[in-house]
Amino acid sequence: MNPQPTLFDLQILARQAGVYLRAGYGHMHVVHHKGDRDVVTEIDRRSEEFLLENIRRRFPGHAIVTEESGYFAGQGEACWYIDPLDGTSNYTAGLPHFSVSIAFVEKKQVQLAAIYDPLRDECFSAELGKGARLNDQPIHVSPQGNIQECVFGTGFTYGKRDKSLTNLKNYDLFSTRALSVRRLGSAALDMSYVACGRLHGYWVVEVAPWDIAAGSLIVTEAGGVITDLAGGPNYNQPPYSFVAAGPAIHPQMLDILREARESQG
Amino acid sequence: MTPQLSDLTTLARQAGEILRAGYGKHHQIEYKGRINLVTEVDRQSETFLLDEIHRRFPGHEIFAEETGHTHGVDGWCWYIDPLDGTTNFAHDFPLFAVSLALARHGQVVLAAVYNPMTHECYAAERGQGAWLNDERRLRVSDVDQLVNGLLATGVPYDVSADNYVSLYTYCRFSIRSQGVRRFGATSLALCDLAAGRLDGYWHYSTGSWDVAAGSLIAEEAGAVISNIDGTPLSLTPPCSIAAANPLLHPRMLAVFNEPRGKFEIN
Repeated sequence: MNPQPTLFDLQILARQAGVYLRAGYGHMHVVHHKGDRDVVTEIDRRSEEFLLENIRRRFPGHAIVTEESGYFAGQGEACWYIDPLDGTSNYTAGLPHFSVSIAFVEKKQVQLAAIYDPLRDECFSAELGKGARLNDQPIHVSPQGNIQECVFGTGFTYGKRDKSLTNLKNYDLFSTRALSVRRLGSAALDMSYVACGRLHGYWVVEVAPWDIAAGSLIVTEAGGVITDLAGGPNYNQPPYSFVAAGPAIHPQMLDILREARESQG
Repeated sequence: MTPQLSDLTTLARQAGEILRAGYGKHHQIEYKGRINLVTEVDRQSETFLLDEIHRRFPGHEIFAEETGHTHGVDGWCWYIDPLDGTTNFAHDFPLFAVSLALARHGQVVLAAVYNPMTHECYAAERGQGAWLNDERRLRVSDVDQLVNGLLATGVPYDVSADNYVSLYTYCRFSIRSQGVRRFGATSLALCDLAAGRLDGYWHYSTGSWDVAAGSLIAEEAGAVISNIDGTPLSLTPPCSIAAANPLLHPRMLAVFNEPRGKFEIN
């Protein structure tokens, strides 16, 4: 039987991949001009190669789904979802907000998750049934239920202009009802921030499975709720649109999303 | 493939992530000697480093603290201390490091020492200088009198003749300098020497993996490094090292060579 990964393994892998991002981020500003796309691509590649090599060596036979290289088939049902650099646009622009995201899935359920922000040295992680943590401390979603007090996050998918237009209606409505809406540029960190109460909720339209996997477990283990945009359980399948929030505010977010849909016919 | 300095700093930082994530947790402690500890984190860090070096630089020789010697074929040799300062680590005392050195045909050419708790990464390339965090050029102090110097030392693990020599040397330097520190991590003390925070360091009978990286970093920052008898530093253990800025080094050597006084242990 193949060895099973532990949460510690995922935390270490995310932190070790983060070393490339941290070093490259500093290096980029010392040596290169901000926005050097080739430098970012190279760092992204190194981070991914490191994760692929280490997962294959230690957990042979596991399938791996990654943002950069696609799908590597395995022999059983164990599968890893990795995003070696979530928040690439921020990274390229020199904005200090990006992460490494790793999830381990078995029995069609995310079992372990780690999201690491190398610049703040914040590692968000969760194990199914055992809660979520930020570094060593347990974290929980916010109990806030008053939408006027809420700060939400959202994202606009690159290269999908029509979907972005759809989401602008959502953005419009949330902006007028809530205290504020942020667009921070790293879906994995947005979900981590929902899990620890920094954001009260987050919604996004049409992302990718590696954008959801790790964050969804961290949110639910922190006491949050995650559904598709209509409130159903099928967020982790195409079109990969979802809303994640504390249980007190989640129903009101669904109401706003419904209102936005109806206003567009 | 020829290793670059950035390969060593990246590996040291990555192994450091294992130490930082494991710091403050309950550890399985084993004793290699009466006061010589090893934890599962030492082994985890070393396994990571060995796997990565084997994968990326196959054929390189390796000396590592926990697993010993791996033979090589092409003249490259690594000295690895996956957790220098294990006793500190096991006691939740936040002073420890990853130490990596790479030698070419017997001479250390690249070195990295990483303190994961302060995120300080010291690095050096032979002939090119020494740096802190890829930016700040390191330079030893210009203290030229023992009485103005802050020194550090380490004491051998085994209670042997060297240990007594080490202790009475400790007495001599304590009386004649501003103070003698004993931090429990040789690699970091040599980096403190490189940064000019310490003015001299000595250690009887230690491992090559403890001194290989730190001695190049100190040397590239302008320090003079030798065996305690003044001959060029040998990386064949047990290593007895005397390191100091160039003004203080001869004054330190003179103290080792003094005849024993009547109040000293013998």
